[in-house]
Amino acid sequence: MFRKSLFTAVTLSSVLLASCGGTGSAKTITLGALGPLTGDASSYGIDMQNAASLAVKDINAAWAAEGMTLELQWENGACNGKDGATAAQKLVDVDGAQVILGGFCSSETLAAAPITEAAKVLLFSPGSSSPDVTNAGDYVYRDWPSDSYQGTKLAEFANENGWKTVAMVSEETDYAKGIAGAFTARFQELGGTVTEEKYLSEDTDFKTQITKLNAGAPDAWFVNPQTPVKADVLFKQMQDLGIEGPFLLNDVAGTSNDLLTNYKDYLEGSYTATLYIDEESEGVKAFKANYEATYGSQPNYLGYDLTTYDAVWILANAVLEVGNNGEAVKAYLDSFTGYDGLAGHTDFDANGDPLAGHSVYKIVSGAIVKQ
Amino acid sequence: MNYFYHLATLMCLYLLLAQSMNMYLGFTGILALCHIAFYGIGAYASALLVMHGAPFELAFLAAGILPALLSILLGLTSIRLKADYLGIATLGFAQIVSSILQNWDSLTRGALGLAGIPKPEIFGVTFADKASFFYLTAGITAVLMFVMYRILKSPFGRVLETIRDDEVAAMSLGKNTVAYKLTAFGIGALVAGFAGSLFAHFITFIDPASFVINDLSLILVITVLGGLGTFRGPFLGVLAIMVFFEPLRFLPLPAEYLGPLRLWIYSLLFVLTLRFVPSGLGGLWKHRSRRGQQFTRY
Repeated sequence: MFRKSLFTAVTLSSVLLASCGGTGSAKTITLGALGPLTGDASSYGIDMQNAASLAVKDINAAWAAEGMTLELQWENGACNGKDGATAAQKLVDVDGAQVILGGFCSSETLAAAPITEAAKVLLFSPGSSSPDVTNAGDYVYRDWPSDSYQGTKLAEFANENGWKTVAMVSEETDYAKGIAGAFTARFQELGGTVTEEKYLSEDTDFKTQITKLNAGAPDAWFVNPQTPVKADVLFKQMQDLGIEGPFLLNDVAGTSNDLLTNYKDYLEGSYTATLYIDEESEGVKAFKANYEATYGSQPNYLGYDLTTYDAVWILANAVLEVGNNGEAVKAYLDSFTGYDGLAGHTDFDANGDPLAGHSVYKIVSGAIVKQ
Repeated sequence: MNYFYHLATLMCLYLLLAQSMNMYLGFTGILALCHIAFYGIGAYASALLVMHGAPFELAFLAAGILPALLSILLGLTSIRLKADYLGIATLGFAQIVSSILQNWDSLTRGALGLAGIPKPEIFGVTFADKASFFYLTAGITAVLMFVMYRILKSPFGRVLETIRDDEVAAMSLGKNTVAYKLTAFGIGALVAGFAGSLFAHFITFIDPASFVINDLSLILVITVLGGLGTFRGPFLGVLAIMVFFEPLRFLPLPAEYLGPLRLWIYSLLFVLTLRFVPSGLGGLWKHRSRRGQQFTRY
């Protein structure tokens, strides 16, 4: 009995396998999509899926005149390397995907990249921020900037401002490390000197580090925490010790509304670099309204939703123009002149990273103003 | 076709993990829950050594030996604990390893993980594509399975089963049960480390999140469903989990339902197995007369 049911189960699953490989109509273009649909990171994945679905709906409305439709074939990468790789392998081999939106988590993208690379399939991430993604492969693109970009951007800005020595106080986490590493490398390349003091996430007293750094009489300070809470403590203690700017801030410290309000005078004239989302633009307002009308709630991660929405449009435009082919889409993106979407202007550098990832902003009376 | 090789490679890795866990959990009755830590240490050791220029052969060996040594150190301090106390102590060990991987930045790069781990190169042959990697993994798996089979069927293996069934009886025969248990635990860790090395070079990206308690549960489900204390158990467990569950991806259901559905079925199977066939699929097959009887007690 057991063996018989075993046999039935195997047969059934093979029938299922065979029946699902069907081909759509010639006018339907199917792209692969890969994101964390289960597990701790699934809240990102579901948001990503929602934003992508909105984009697909809008694209299909725009394509209706030509009789074309776009579809996304989703697979779950579960925000880890093993599932990301398995899902990518399935999309490439079984579904024959030539272009894949995703992964979302850097672990998914980094594990999927060797597979898509070998098959010359284009991988386009709307959310991976690890600096490692930059060199993950020739067919890997993203429209979410690398964490290291803001470090580079601020280093160049500091150099242009004529600052030669920078004192950096930095938290021991992957995000802050990415920024600190990039800033230091670029600033030293430009002839500057960086003195860095680090602290652990559980630390609450930074007076020793600050005093030590202050003894070097730096031209400027770089405040590089992981969370706004730590930024608050840092600002408070720096203020107590009589440290005066100019300050360079990472985008955690430099864009939190609470901090900008509470330390309005102290931070006046500081600089930060961030991926700025213009929440007041018509497009973003319409997107938010549309999202709420469709899913009954506001988007949880507006920034990621907008890069996802733009990513689907960029890929759709590409396959419409050059066909659903990884190599052709890569060529298209390499000779890209940019796309103006909800997250601003998107264009890529030679590594497939977004060019206009971060811009430098000046803090003026509690608000950030683009430089 | 590459998808098939990909899944087959993963099946080999889970087979190694389940059988090596079975070695101490099923055959010896050591309720240790840190298999995932041995796997993780193996993966990190191998990846780091190769990325720092060591040849793959050396890295692979080190990936097995390092967790084996650690398991003996852990065993020396904790293996005398009984059942659930040992379970908790070893779970603690797994947690410590996971925090070390997360926080030892200068070595493991912490949360950033290790990306771009090279494919293995053995005596000048690179196993870069899916097919050749599968043959490499299958070969190593076959050798290790054969060795474990011989160990379990040897007089040494029979002592392990005696310890599981009645430790006092084994002692009364003059057997140093602690030494036997440590050896079984060490062999389990050794093989898990080898599996970790293969995993790291297969996926080419590892991070601390790949080696957390969640992933232990899959190995545990495979081992228990297949049948604790039976050599064929892990084979059946891997077949059941991978062959029946992977096709679920092809069901015409949205992916956001399929993921949780798989987790549901895993847990349901786990509970049903424990309740109705504690000896697992392996026991169901062999001991028809003893069906439903649990071999391994803690």
